[in-house]
Amino acid sequence: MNLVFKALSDPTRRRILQLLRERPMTAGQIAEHFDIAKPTLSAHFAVLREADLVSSEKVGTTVTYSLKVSVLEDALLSFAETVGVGIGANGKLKLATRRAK
Amino acid sequence: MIDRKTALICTALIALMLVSAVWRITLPDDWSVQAASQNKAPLLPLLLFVFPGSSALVMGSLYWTSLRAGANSAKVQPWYRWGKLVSIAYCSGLLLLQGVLVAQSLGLQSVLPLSVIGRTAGVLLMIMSLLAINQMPKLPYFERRFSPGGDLGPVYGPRYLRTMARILIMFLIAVFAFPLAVGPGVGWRGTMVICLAAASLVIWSIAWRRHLGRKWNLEQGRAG
Repeated sequence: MNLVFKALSDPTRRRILQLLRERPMTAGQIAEHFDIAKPTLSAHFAVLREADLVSSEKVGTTVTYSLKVSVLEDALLSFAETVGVGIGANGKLKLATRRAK
Repeated sequence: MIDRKTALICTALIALMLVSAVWRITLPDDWSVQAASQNKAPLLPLLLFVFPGSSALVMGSLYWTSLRAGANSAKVQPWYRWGKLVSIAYCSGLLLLQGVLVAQSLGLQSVLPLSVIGRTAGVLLMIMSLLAINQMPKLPYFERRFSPGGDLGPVYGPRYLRTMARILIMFLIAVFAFPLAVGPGVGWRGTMVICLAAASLVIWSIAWRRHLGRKWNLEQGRAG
C-alpha cells in the first residue's frame, strides 16, 4: 500500500492515470500531454508499474500502458486529485518548489 | 470463472446445504411447533433453500462464464484464481450460516453461541465480497463470448468493469448498512426492496453494456 500512496502522491503520475482512465495509451501518446523529458516520464511509469497501478504490453517497439486500479485505489486517486496532494498553495508542484529552494 | 475441480467442491458444499435442509424439514418434531412454543414467528421451510439457491446461482454463473470464455489463455488464469477463492469462500460461508439456521431451529441457542457465530460469518462474508469486487478491475480484461452488447473493445470493456465494480461495492455497502439503519426487524418488505434494487441494477448493467457495445461498433465503423 505504501507504493500506491507514493505513486498517487505525485500530480504527474495522477495525470497519467487520469489519461489512462479514458483508454489504453502508448508511451508516446502519453508523452504528448506532458512537457517533461522522456527519461523522467519513464521513471514515473516505473513507479506506477511497481505500485501495480498500470500494466504494460510491448508490441514491437511500442509499449502500451493500461490502467490497473482496484475500486479502492480509484477512490484514493480521486481523493488525492480533489485534495491536491503534492500541489502547493500557489498551484505549483511541491517538489519543484523544494528544488528551487 | 472457475475450473471443474472448484465447481465440484462448490457442488459438494451446496449438496451439504441441501441435505441439511431436507433433513431438518423431514424431522418429526416440526420446528414450527417448537418455534410457536417459544413465542417466535415460525421459520418458513423455504428459508432453508435460500442459501443453497444463492450459492448455486453464484457458482453456476462463474462456471457458465468459464465455459463461455473459451481459450485457456494466460489472460484468463488470474480470473480462475479469483473465482476459486470467491466461490469456495462464499459457499463455505453460506454453509456455516445454513448450519446456524438449522441449529437455531433445533433450539440449540442455549448450548452454542449461535447468534455470535452467525453474525461473525455474515461480517466475514461481507468483507470477502467487498474485497473480491474491489480486486475485479485489476484483473485483465478479456472479451466474453455471447455477452449482451457484444464486443466492448479495450476501451469500453475495462471502463465497464471498473464502473460496475464501483457500483457493486456501493450497492453491497448499502445492503449491509440497511439492516443496521432500520434495526433488527428488516422483514420481508426490506428484503423485497433489496431484491428489486438488485434486479434494477442487473437490467441497468445490461442496458449500459449494450449502449457501450453499440458505441464501440460505431467507432470501429468510422475507423474502418
